[in-house]
Amino acid sequence: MLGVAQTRPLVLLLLMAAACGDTGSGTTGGAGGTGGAGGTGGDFPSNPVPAGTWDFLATELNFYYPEGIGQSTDVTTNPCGINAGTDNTMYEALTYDEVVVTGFDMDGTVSSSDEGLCGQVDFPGTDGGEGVDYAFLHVIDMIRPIRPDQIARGVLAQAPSEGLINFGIRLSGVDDFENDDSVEVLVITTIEPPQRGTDGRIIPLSSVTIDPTPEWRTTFTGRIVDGVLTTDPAEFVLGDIDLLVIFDRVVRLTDARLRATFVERDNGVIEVDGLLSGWWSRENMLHAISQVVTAIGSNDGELACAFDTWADRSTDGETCDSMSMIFKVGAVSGFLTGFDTAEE
Amino acid sequence: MPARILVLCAWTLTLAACSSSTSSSSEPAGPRASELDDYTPGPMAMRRLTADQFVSSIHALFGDDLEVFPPTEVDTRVAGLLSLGATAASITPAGFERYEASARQVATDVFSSERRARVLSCGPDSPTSADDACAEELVNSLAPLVLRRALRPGEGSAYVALARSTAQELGDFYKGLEAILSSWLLSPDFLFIQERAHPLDPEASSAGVMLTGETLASRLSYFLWNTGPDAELLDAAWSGELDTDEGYRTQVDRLLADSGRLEVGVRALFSDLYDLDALDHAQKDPERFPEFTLDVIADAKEQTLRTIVEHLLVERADYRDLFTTRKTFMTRSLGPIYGVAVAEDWEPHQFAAGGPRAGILSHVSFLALQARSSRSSPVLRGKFVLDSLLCTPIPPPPATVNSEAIAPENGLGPTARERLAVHRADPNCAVCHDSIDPIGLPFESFDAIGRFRTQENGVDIETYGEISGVEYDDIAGLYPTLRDTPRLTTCMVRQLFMHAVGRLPGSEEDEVLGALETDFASDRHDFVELMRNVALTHGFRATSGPREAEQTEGEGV
Repeated sequence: MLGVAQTRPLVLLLLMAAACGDTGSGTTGGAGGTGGAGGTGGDFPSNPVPAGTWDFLATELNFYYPEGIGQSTDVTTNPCGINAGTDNTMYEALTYDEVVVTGFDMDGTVSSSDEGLCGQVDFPGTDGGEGVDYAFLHVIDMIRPIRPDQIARGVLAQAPSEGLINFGIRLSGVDDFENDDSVEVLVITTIEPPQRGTDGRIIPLSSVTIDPTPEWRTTFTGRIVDGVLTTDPAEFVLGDIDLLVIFDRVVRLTDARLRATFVERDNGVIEVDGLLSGWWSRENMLHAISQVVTAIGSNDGELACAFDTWADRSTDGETCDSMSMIFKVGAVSGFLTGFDTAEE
Repeated sequence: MPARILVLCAWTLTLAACSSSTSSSSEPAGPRASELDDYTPGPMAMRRLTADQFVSSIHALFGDDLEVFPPTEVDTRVAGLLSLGATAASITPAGFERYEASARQVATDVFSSERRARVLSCGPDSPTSADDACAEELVNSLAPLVLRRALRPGEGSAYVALARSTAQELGDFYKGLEAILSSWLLSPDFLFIQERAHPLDPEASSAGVMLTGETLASRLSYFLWNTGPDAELLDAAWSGELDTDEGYRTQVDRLLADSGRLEVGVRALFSDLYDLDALDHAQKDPERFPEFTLDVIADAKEQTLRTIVEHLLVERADYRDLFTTRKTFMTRSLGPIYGVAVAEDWEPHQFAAGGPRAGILSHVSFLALQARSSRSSPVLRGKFVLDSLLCTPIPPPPATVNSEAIAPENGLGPTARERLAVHRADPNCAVCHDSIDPIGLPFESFDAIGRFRTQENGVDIETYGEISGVEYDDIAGLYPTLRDTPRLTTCMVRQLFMHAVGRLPGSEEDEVLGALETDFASDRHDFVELMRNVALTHGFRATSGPREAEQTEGEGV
């Protein structure tokens, strides 16, 4: 979260950008955003970013690993009878009783494992609340390749810069990055990755073109309170995920919501540190990541088994067909282009 | 040593002041430059083709798609121009080997089965034996274009004989053609722009002697197109058309009207003037500037050249506005450095009105090139403006001066302005830095790769400055001040004239330079008109004769 000292320049930045228009002032503060307009006249167009709009390029879409997990071991029977380790019946379970999770109490209840259909234990929240839903954390425990110190985390961390996961975030209607009661957040698939620097990392203030597919975008409404953006629930869809040998995967989350904070770097570039929470259906989870998980070393069927073991929501009242999920989202100032073309 | 530097600086600054004051466009109009012919021009020059000209000359003959490995002989600068340094350049034995390798490769490719039909209108009776008739046809059509002159008596048959003997020895007709083409490409007639003059005409009213048509054809072609003359221009030389005022003007206008090749010439000129090729070797600290990729380097150079071409050739806008125009072009690679959205590569872009960027000096090309690898350099930037734009050369610092002493980590202050103030406290340094720093320090608004900034080491950067006594508050004020500095056009005229004739102006050519500047002003500083006017001067078409040996060592302005 932005401290007071960090927040002030960001607010100044916002005002400067709104006043100055495209280029240099954009660079001063830069940040993908602008206040738009810029010079006009002749055959030379102005920048296409509307006033008060801030664009960001995804730098991360990873499983969310709260601090504290993976520290201890507990040799026990794998609930699925499948082990991702060397022993086929016993595995070293992570313990996360002490784990505090930043997220949402999406179902409005502090669930427990003995609670009717699909009852699973919720987590305490970092804000002091209870009932944070994140059942997928149990799946992370059960499938070795996606544990915190295993390969999946690194693969996903590289995915945006490698062009395997391409999306951007457009923040609109922001008057004050510290407190604003009405903002709009568009998460949209892009058709290409941002440029990479000589260090292999995404270059801030790069431009990328949005994907015109209308279904591959999500609009959230939300607010900023004390520097923390939270949104209302929305159906989340992200398309064109190209992980490893898997192509054209689509991630869908029901009743998804976003939480994000903003940090301004010395050069005016803003970094977004966010979490995307929602209900992940059995069908879509297997569609989106099962082949990936298998490809990086898990056993066939393990993901489905883990899902069935820990699913914590039923949409039909009969089967546990959804699971609470939290993705970690990172982004940095940039520019999203192609809205005009996409809307033609 | 410091005293010598002080004197040199004082001399160059005085020169600048005098030149500016004597060449003001407010002077009463006199005859146009093209009408002056009562002065003796400078001597003839013999210029080695620059690496760029070597490649472009071969491309003009055989097509742009032919891969040419440029020779690596070092091109040197005189008065800031490689095209002038070419008059003092030679070819070393090692360099000749590289020319030879390049020539052989070109010859092999030109007569490859895929390409030979482009230059050969005939074919041999047998590809494994000689064919004098076909070889002679090639010699007559191609040799004059490559050598940029008519063949001398008996020369053609000698080439045919060489083709014959080679073909017989190797059992390959085309190897014979490769041999003669290689010999032409290694000939001094190709590798050097050689100049010859008509015999002195005691009846002529003008001073000096007129250059031959072939010499004029090459001079004109390399000046305007940066490549050798085409067949029509050589025909005009051989027919005597170039020896007449009307015929010569017709060809000048024809060359200027060829927008494609004129663009090549203008690009070459400004690449040379601004040393843009040096960007290819620019290195930046990868930890501080990971954004400075190879794509950025390529696009930065092209951005500036496109802007120049668009401004000077397409819009025919005022040359001085090159330093204030907000119009440019943008690519995805450059966008992050300028902090702007870019939908597609090379889209037109306009810098924000009143913002810190305007003109080509706000481009990444200049700002990154005139900087150190890890930090900006107000000294390099200020010196470039004085040297290359205002023709006020600043001598190199005394050998005892450590330029790294003003590096940020040496504790002289958080900003370059503070550090340079300490440096200027030494009178020996101040004599040059008093001129350099007020021009270079406003560019501190940009870091070592050209990103805009307002602070250095957490401290606000002050960007006020001054050019020729005119003060401005910030970088945005520098651009129009430079634009309106009379010395800017004085310098451009002088540089273009030197580039055109391949030598420093002679002592009797001050008047024509002044007239060119006046013409430039009356032509709304239209750069194409300036090129035309330079080409039409007596100094371009005539010479005092061969260059004296001691004159080849002329240095500086």
